[in-house]
Amino acid sequence: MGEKKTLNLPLIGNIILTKGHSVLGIILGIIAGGILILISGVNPFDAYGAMLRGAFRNWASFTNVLVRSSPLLLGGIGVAIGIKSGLWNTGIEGFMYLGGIGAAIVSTMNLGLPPVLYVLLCFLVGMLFAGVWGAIPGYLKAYRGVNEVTCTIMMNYIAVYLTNWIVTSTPIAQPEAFYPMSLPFAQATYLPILTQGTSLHIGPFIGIVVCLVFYFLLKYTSFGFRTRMLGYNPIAARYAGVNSKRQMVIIMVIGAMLGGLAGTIECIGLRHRLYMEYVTNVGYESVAVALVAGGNPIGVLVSALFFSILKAGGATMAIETGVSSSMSSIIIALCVLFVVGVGVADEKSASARKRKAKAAAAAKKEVAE
Amino acid sequence: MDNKAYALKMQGITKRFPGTLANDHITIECEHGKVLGLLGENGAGKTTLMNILYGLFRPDEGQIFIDGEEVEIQSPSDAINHGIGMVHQHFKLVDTLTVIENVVLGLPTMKQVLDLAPAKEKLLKLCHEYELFVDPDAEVWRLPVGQQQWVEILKALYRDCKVLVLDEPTAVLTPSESNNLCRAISKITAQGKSVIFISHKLREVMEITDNVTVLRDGKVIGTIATKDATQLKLAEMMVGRAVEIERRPRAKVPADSEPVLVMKDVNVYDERGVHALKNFNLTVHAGEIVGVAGIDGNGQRELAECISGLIKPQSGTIEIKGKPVTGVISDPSFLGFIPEDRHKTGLVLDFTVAENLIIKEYMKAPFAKKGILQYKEIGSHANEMIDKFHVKTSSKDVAVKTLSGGNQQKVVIARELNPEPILDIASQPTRGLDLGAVMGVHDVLMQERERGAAVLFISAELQEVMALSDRIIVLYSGENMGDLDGDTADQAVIGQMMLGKRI
Amino acid sequence: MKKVLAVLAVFLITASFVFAGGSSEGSNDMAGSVAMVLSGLKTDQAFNQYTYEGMLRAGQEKGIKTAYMESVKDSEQIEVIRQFAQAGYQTIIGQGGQFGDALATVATEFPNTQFIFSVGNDTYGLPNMSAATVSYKEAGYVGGIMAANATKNNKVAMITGVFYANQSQMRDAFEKALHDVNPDIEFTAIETNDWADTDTAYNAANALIAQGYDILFPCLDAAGAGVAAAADDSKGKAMVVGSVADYAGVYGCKAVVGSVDFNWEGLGYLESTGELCDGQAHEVGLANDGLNITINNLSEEGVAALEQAKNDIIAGNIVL
Repeated sequence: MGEKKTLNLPLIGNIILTKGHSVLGIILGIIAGGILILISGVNPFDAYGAMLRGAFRNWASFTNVLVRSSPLLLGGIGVAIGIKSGLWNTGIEGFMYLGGIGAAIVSTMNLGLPPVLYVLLCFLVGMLFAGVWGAIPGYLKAYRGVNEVTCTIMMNYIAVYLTNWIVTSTPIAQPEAFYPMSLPFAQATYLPILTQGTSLHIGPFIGIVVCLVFYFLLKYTSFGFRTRMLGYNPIAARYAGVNSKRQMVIIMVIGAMLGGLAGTIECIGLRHRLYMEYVTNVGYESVAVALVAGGNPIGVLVSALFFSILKAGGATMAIETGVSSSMSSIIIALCVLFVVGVGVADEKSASARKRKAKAAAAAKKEVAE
Repeated sequence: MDNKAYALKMQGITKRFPGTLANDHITIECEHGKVLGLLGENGAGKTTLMNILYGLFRPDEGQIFIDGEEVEIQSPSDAINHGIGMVHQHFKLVDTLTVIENVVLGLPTMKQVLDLAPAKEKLLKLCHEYELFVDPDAEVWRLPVGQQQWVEILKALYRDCKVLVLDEPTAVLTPSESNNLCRAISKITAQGKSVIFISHKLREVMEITDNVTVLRDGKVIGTIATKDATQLKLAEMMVGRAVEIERRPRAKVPADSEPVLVMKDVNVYDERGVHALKNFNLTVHAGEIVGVAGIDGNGQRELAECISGLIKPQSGTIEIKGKPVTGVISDPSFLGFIPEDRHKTGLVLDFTVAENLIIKEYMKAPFAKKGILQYKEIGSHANEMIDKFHVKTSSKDVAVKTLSGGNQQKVVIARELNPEPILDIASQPTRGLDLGAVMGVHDVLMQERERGAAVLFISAELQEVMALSDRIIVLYSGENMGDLDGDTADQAVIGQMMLGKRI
Repeated sequence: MKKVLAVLAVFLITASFVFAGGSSEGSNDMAGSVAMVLSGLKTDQAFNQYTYEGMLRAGQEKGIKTAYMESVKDSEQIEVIRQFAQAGYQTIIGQGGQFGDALATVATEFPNTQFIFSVGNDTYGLPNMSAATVSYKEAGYVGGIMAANATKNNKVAMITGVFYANQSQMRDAFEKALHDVNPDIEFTAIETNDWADTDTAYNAANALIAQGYDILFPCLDAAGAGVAAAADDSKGKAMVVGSVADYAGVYGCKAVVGSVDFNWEGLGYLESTGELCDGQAHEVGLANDGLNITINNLSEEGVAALEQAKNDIIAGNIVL
């Protein structure tokens, strides 16, 4: 009887019901994070209040959220299309490094190109580098049966050390540096700052557009149809004539190129140099983003922004209340755990419900007979 | 009290899965020191029953008695404690561990340090006793498949089982290994232990068992003493259908009809290395239905898959209308293929009905233009197909997994046959369907024949093969046993051929 | 019912934050306030911890407000520094060579805030940005005096990870000290390419000892233990002059002449007091208590020469 009196909140209500796992998991993650904050001796309401202020106090603080969302959006989509096609792409971390390397090589050369062209060239080379890098695990998975998770994680390490080598021992390394870094990039490669006094560059908007494009691509194109078919039932996909091996490589390369673009944007948008170990787990966070989003591009949009709020607000929380700065990462991890956990629990209880319903039906039938 | 005579009795076991009744009040009885054969085709309910016995599933109804006492088996460890040993069709061994480590794995022990010496001694004694020789220190992955099976059997014997269940044990054995197994089984029963022997190979069942229970469609068809049975009788019990299917009237296929499918000396080995098709030759002409009879698992799946290009034959040639098959054929105007497993192969269960209707044509006009899906076209096509093939569904936009089995099959048939292919392969198209749906499928295949398509109809149901086919070939152990005329073929003759007799 | 509950829960939680968000803290006195941005953990028992403790000491002594943020990643440097500037901190210290560009970016946006690039020497030409580092040159010179007075074969070697700016300066000053004492001393300097790999350092040190080098001058992180072990294993053939760490204290090295390491706590303290905010690049050395010198096995003449060199540096008689 409560059903009919439900408040008419179609949007929020439906999101909560259809994305029930994610929303409930996130709420539980935030509550668990609050308990940890409490244990560390800070009032969790103060802490979360500081977090929200840090993210939403004014436009300048919201730009922090946007800037942080840029790599999560792009990387999250890279992982999400993998999930849609049944591939676990855990290589975004490495692809970002390769994107950074590509951008660094081009932009330290001072080609004297006009800014727009130069930036596009950086994007292109960054994506190319990462794409070639991504083709390796893609090929190994599709044609040699190597587990893609192991392979991409291994290659992430190689990418980290490759970057370290490039910023210490190659001609594009800054000589006599106090910290391993490349030469400064050419001014023409800098992404324009959209709001003075902030770091807001076009990266987050590129990320948002990419999310929408991939939503369309998956839903409304034959490429997307093929991808989803491969993810839902690879045997049927093969039967329907899909070259599933080639498709796997393509998906991995696309994911890699998105990761590469994310890395390029981080380099030419923020620091204007390539630094040693500059990615620091953002690639793995994008796996979490895609996981919470359930592989849905629109979900990626929402969860990337949510994670960015946690991260940007988390910095303010640490500054204002003295909570450890790793707390935002912990809360993100808790959210992911609970989202996955709620999903599993829900599946179990659903099958238990089914069993009960069936038993009840059987009992009824017997009585009837 | 009278149950006491049985080492194991399962009474009135019923197990329902969504949409199917896997076990319908099944009762089996296994005497002390005897071998009970459990005979039935794939999907007859043998494996479900054994999984219930082993505590992997809980029955919805029914009781289990061991030595006359009712027991509750909730998990495999309960089953082991009650003296039940199980050798699954797919072994449950840890490949990287040694034989002895696998044998002791999971045994309760109070010791913190693993002392294998006494275990090894006991194992070697068992090896000699049953003449199943394995090296206790060999790593399992290095052993040939036959010896891995010895390990499974020894593992059960090591736990002092009273009832040993062997699920299709000879499927992976060479003939001499099979002989070893027979010898071991007779030694096991000589000690008063009981064996349940699951198989669909009639000859072995005749040789090894004392009693046979035949299952079909989740029900017990009958239990007879092996000495009173004949292979033919068992085969009839196994594949027979309660309802007689009438032979469909048809015109004679013209003799000059062009050959559409031509297979020459095709050899296929499956993923386990078993020789699944042996020097196979077959020609199917336009406008005829060629039925493939045979007990399930004699190469039918490989036959369908190598024609459709899903698997590559090791040797021989396959041509469709003069074109050699080189890869997966996805052109629906060329080949219509109703695969034997619609859930695994024929459908994407999470896709909607409309999407499933275009999984082979999603990238072609009118369903896609310049790579963009045309949902309007896809939708109207779906509605058209739903009407034409009488698919019962609430909407074209519901996931196909919500449909009943018969309606799912209609979706597959609509997709495969509506484009009017020149060759149809229908592999077990009526399996799991109720009679009405079966008749519907038969109608469709006859219409295809009238249209002039070449139809290869593979079925384990002899009745329907005989009812529909213009020609009948019989598959036994991957070999084409002979080519018979559909009008004059005799059920008894085909039955003999299905058991490997050349006539 | 479920739907209503879910909506309610979300609203309640959101609302609770908004209310909590309303209670902003009272504006404390920000005069002299200082914020420090660390790349690592403030409990790392090394550079990050000691500079942080220096800031705490300054805060207590001078009664100024302090704040910090640890484990700041590369991509968030600018944002965090900007947040401190927006919060009104008057001096912001970036603790480490990787913070230079980020500090300079924010310094142009906040001309009334002072920025200190710590362990760097580049002020990017900005009036409100200063740089401060410990004097690797002076440490090198002091080490060189000890080495020159301890070598018997007149063969001395320096071992480091990679010659970044600081290590190069240290090497040049070290070599100058050697030759100031004895122009005939043979000197070599090698890179191991790994600051923490003990095995590599051990093998490199042994190779040098085999070539007759009897004084080793390591400038390494954890890999210093390898050099210490090689000297101890050489049965008197070689000794260590330590840098960056007290080799007798930290690595338990026996064959050690002495060590010169940096007073990070002092550097953090100096930066936090505001004395360095003048738009210049500073080197904190012997004159302002920036170096710790430990003597373990040095002849009397050696000790005397060391004292002399220290005084000369402080007095400005030796220019490095």
